[in-house]
Amino acid sequence: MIDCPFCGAENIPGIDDCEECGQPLSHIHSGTHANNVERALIKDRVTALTPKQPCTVAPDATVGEVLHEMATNRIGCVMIVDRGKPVGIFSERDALLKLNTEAAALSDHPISEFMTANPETLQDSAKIAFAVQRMDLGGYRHLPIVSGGDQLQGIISVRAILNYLTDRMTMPS
Amino acid sequence: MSTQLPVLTAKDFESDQDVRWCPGCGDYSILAQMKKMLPSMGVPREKIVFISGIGCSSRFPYYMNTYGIHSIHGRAPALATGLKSVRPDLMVWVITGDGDGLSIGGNHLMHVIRRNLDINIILFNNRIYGLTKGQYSPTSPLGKVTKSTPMGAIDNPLHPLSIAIGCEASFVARSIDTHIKHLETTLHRAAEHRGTSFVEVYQNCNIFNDGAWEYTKDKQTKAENTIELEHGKPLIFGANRDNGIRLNGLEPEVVELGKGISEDDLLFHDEKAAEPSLAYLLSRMRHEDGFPEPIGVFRAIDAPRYDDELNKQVAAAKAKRGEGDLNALFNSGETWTVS
Repeated sequence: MIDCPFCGAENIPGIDDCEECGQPLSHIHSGTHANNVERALIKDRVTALTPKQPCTVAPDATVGEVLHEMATNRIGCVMIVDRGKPVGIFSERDALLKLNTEAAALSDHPISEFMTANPETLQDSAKIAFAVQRMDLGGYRHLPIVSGGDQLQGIISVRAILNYLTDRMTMPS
Repeated sequence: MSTQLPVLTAKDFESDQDVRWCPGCGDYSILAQMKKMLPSMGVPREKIVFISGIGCSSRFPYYMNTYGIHSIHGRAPALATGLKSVRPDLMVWVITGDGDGLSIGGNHLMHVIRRNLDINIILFNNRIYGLTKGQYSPTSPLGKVTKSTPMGAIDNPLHPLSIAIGCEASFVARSIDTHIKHLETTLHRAAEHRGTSFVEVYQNCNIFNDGAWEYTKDKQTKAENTIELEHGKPLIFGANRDNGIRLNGLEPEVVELGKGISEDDLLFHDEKAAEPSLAYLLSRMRHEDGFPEPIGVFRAIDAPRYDDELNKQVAAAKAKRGEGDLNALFNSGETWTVS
């Protein structure tokens, strides 16, 4: 058994939150996983990746405006947001596959015509292992992070996960 | 002189094995509630057996300081049948998951339920194969993208309680891993029942299927998305308890209380109903169809038990023909010697 440092109640090892007071306990046990990387992936939440504030635009923003934002800020995707809720995502890949050489001709069109609608999102309480699995399955390079059901909080990228993994691989056991 | 039996606590049921579930797995909660509940049954540890198949949930017996068998994929009901038949004095638990119980062991599960053997079956439903890292399971919803369904699942999912009720289970219940008091009470009811108790637990796999049951757990939505069954009481739900379930012919419908509808118009829960149709109807109320999902005891009836009936037949045969002799039986028919 492990003692909750907040209220002193005894809890089963490995439990996420104290059964008595609800305080998080996952940080006080390390589990029995093979190595630093596996342990960290299963233990840490996506907030450990420090999700970045995404570049956001309204659904009626034009293709030209969005491409300009991406190029100016040197970013791989923008979120299309309606009243705080992510309704679409537009990425470099969308630009390549959906606009390509027609980009200039389509620059006055609303981005909602070319975005990927209803993108998969993750709650900010999700574990990094779950994020990796969803990115692998969906072939995503970016995943929006939400809280309270659907309010956009940030975005994580494959690059952030690579950095995170590299850090954990070089940590002493 | 009578012997004083030791009073057990949850800690007495803790084994010396390292728990190998992922941090935050819903299985921890089920394990914790089982350990909390068992002392109240007054059954000594050496009279309790946990039998499992294969899967994350099936590591359960290692973590209980009782007898246990980590058996063959889907075959825990077969081992439980054999054990309970010859040792009816034992309290036998089968621990299974949605893959182990409904896919690999679907046939065994069906038959153990219809026989009404006096055992308790807990099915941890996380709607995914977790141990093998994220393939779709028999309870995964249509369209679910997993490692084995890259374009979305096209199998209609099974609903564990509908299966159990279809097999005329004598005790059927549902709880949720994070509803710890409800879970403990439900496990207690299952343990007390004589006959096969079938309990589905909504369990979160936070690595391969995180949030699968979030609509039943989220503080903002759970009152609207679940309905707690209480025997003899009307089906009322909602944060303000202003919604209910009414029968419209053979179909349930969600209604708002007031506006000409009173509690008396609602469906009243009867877990003792001999006819399983109402329990089946409740098991088909699903979130995606706009219903709150029932939790609690759906059905609890008394019915003849396989182990009782079998042992009555054995006793009758012994009374008529005396104790058997295995050696004599073995040599009674067509045997021969190979030279």
